[in-house]
Amino acid sequence: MRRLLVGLCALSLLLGGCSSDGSTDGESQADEATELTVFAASSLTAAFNDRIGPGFEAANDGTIVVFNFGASDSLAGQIQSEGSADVFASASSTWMDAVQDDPGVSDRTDFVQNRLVIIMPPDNPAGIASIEDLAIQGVQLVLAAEGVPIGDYSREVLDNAGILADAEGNVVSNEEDNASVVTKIAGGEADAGIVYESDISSAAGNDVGSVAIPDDVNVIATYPMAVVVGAPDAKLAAEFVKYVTGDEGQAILTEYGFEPIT
Amino acid sequence: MGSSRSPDAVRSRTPLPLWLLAGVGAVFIALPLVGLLIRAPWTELGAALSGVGAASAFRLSIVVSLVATVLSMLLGVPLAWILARAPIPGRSVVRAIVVLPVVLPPVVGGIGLLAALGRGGVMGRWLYEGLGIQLTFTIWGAIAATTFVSMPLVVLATESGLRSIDQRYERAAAALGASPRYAIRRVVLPMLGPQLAAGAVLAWARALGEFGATITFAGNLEGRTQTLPLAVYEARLTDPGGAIFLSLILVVLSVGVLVAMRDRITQAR
Amino acid sequence: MGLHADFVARRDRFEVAVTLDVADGETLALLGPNGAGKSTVVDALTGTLELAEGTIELDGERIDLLPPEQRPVGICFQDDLLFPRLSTLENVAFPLRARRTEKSTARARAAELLERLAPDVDSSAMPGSLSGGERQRVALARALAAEPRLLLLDEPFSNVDVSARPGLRALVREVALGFGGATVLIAHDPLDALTLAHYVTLLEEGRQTQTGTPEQIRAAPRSSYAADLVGVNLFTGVLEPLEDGAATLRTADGQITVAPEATVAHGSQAIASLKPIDVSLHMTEPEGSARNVLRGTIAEVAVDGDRARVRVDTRPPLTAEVTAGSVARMGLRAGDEVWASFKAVEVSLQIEGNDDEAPPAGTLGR
Repeated sequence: MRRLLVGLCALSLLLGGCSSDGSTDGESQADEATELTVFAASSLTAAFNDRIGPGFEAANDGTIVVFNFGASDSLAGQIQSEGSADVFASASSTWMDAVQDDPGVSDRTDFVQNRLVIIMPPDNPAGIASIEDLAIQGVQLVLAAEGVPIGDYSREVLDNAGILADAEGNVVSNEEDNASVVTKIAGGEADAGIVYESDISSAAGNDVGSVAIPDDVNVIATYPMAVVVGAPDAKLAAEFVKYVTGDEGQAILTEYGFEPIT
Repeated sequence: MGSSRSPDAVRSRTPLPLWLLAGVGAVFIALPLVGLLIRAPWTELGAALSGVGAASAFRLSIVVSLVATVLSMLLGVPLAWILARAPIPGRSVVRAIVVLPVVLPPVVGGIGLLAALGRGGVMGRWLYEGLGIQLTFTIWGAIAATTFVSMPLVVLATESGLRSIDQRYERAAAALGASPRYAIRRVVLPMLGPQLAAGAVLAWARALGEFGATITFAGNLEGRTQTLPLAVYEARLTDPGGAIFLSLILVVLSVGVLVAMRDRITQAR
Repeated sequence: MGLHADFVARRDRFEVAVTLDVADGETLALLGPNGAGKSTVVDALTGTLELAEGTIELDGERIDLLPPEQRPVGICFQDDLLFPRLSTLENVAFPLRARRTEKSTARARAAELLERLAPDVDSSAMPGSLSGGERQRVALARALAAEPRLLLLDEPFSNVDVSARPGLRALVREVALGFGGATVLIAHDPLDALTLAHYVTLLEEGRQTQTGTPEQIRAAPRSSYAADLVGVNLFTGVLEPLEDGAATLRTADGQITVAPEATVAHGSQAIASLKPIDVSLHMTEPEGSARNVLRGTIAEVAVDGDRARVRVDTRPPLTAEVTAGSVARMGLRAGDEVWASFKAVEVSLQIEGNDDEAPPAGTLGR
């Protein structure tokens, strides 16, 4: 009995040490259907999972789209080490550039834009009303970590507004992606966060308050998408890119709070 | 045939397949560690470490893991005692709950902790609004998350030890005039020595490596909550060299702990 | 005033009802087969087990309502149960320290007791390094440390190997005789009870079947267990060595020839036991190598199934066990003259040493 317990403990240590990076594994399907693996930034989760994926499957009979959502930096790393993606949709050009270097991409297109917005818990405990309020001492601010696109964008915005140093002093946690920021704010754990507009769209269904960031300091994030070199069915992958950039895809994305490329 | 054999005689009795499988197992465990050592950019050591906040991550890891271990012992040993000795109703249910963190993914534990002790949590709410105490985003949050996953290990090791102790000693102590408290202190706890040590080591090792619950509940901020595992996670794509060095620090720490305890983890006797 | 206990105690489905009266300075032996309830009685006396009915009084005060740690009871356990992580000295000092006695006082008294009862044992040694006999001596010292008013000795000889038993038995007797309060000795082996106690009470299946001095029980056993018990032929007396290495044991009511393992000193006290099965009966004087051939009248024949116990009025008196068939064949009846024989080597001999002061236990009347 004692050995069983020790074995269990050892096993738990192993599991406990594992990091969870929010990625979901694709399921292996029957051979008849063609599988398309799409790695997409977290901010695209709702739109792609609920509408884009099913929409593409309906338009292409016999195709199953499998998504892997995560922070763009994390996804880029996975593509480089495992190379199992057909399509990569990134929240920033930085990480698309990285994948373009290695292993390479084709059909690279910018497909949507996303603005940043400030979010607060529904009851707005710190009374945030403008971006300058984020510099007030004692406000608990949650951002994504540097290196994560939304993390870099947030800091760019704060810098544009001239309050980067003060606001950084208020940061209580650097999260791994925008979804984690939303979770912390929706749960009332912190006073404010900065995420994408798409995260507060009604379609995203997140229960948070928000304050708009003035256009003159805001960052417009441009999302590139591309077919990854080495994709088994490059033609199908290119079809997906076309679908997303086409009328139907764009309409869906607008519904989910994204903006078309200007 | 004497009772002492030369090592050569012992080795020749181990079948070859055993050697092969054991070898594969050992290599499997060792290879990532060797890989770390080889891939580390040793020439950039200083810059890389300061870049990723290694010093504060190291300090936080030590402080959080040690405090969590102490708390786990302080709360876990009495809990194990109650489970092993006291006739409470629904004992097996209580034990199942207490051991749950061992089986649950740590992130789930973190979410649970938020629901309970976060600013909007069941108990956290009045902690924050009534007493102005906030655990999230603080080192105490990291300690809480780490204790949550470590304490069950102490409970398991201690309870197993208590069950293996002959209860007649406690009865003998009582018959000889000892109050329950005195008997526990002078008779039982000394007999539990090895199991207590094993529990503490397991708890500490688990605490050092804790990630999921910490990042979910306490957040991730350099100097305040970013322990070594969190620092590695944040550095891994932006600064791979730094991430490797941080990982090596963790490995050295862990190896130190395990070597210090040697056989006691598997023996607990 | 001693112990006066009259209670019923229950454990699981088992019930024990006993009445015990032991005066100060007296030793009562509680004898019984396995499962008779002896440990239940011990637990009731120590307080580990609560009484279902009745009371336990010690020196006129009720102790059955007190928790174990408040009862003035000292106990020496069958498995010594010395605390493994405490040194010998710390073990003996334990009852005093548990009662908040100051450390140096406790250790001094413990050292004293150890010196007296286990002089060869190193007081800083851990129990694990001691032999069974040594551990039991330390356990005895521990039982006495807090100056209890009731001493419980729970089968103290069971886990001691045969060679160490005589010495331990002598020590226990000395301790029990010197102990001012009441002593209750739990025993499985009748030899222990009969040689150490003033009174014996037999416990069978939770009930006392007989209480009395060893002689009273021997004279009139009231149950088959009692009969089996006293069926052991017991001789106590002094030894006189013979030329060929054997010795004569002179008892109060006769003499037998015994075979000691080494030369004995003239006048040594000894206790000897002989199993009835080793006694043969003959209608005429037997030839053969048996050193002991006694002639006497049959006092009683008791047939029990296919065995029979025959008490013979030899000097000293003997009980022989033969088959019922033999009884029939030889036509054995009370009043018949028979020869009883047994070999000297079949007598189990315990030499007690040249102890003139302490009278052999079991022979004290009251």
